Amino acid sequence: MDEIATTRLTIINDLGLHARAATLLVQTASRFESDLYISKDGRQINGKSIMGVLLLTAGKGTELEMEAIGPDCNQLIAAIEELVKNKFGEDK
Amino acid sequence: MEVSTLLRALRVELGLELIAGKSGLDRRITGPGIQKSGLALTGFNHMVKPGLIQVLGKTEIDYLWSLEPKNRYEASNHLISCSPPGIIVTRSLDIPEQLIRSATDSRVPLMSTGLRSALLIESLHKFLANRMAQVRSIHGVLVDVFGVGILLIGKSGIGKSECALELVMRGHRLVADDVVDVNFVPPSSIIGAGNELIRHNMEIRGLGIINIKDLFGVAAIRESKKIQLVINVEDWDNSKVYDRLGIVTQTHSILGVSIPRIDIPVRPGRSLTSIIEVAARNQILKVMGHHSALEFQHKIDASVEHSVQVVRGISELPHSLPAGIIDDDAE
Repeated sequence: MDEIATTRLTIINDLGLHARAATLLVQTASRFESDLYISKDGRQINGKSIMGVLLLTAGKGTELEMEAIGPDCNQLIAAIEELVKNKFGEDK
Repeated sequence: MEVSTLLRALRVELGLELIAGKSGLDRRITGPGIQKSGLALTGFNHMVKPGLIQVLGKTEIDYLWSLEPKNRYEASNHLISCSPPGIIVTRSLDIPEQLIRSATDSRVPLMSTGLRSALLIESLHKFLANRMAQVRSIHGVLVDVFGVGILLIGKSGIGKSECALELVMRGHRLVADDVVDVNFVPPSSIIGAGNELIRHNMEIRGLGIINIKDLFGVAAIRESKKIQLVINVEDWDNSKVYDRLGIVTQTHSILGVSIPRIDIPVRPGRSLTSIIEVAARNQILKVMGHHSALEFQHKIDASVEHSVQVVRGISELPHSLPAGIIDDDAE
């Protein structure tokens, strides 16, 4: 049985999950073997798919539910949490 | 869905005309069912379900006309008091003014159409079922190959999009890349479509996001397509036993509907695109009643049976042999 790690994150950077931020998120997720699923308003998408992440159109203040499934799911979630907390490396 | 949405969408197609109850256009339709509620006019209205469109045909309207004018308002009220989201009168029948008054008083949209009841109910049900269907997103690529709706699934980076691009270049059509919105249309269809925001865009690693419609034209895309075959693309796994004959039918469940599924392992040198094209052709054959793998198996079984009989000294061929075997032997 695969391990599962979940978390709930709020997007805090001003620009939200725009193209560059989405790319960064997908690239980060893709470094891990585990699968990542992100949900917003009942729509679940694959966190390793740039189209899916862009489709979330998550602006500042949006709450996202993350679910990672696989052997390194905890590391994956930690990396994503770090990324969101650091505002995707943006100033504000 | 609000009644106003229905009216706007079907006004032209069904020739719908709003007669009364305009202020009630914000009423909500909650189910795809349609009721023809003649008995409700007599006061027996327990079976009128809230949230469903009510249709009044010739019988019902004739019944209203057959009543004394003073009773028509009361009869209309039996139905109107159930507070349906809307009432549609068919065949452009002459509507008693008592029914119009009752609908206006209670803010129930009363519409009229020139269609006969049977046709109206069919079109309306199809429309409502489509609109109210359950929607879910699936990670995959949906393509139309020779008219067969094929959903490619498999993990990120396995080459689904690249394969779809190659299919498009061979003249097939892209429905959606990466995020496929699927909805269940009764009795057993799953319709897939691209999300409006990213429709017909595709991500190809190394190229970035490309727009198939702009690059290849309208003939290379499709808005939606029924999913008829699921192809699971996976890394070649030496420990896994792949189907070698194609006799076992595997299925993939989407929103509770079982769709035929095949697993295709990828390895350098195996052209995924060609395999998918052939899978589509094979699927068409199956739908037409030809199952290549099963026919092949029958042929082999019959041949084996024949050789057993030859060993036993029975030289005559059994009559049940499928065509082909005898010819082969003759050569």
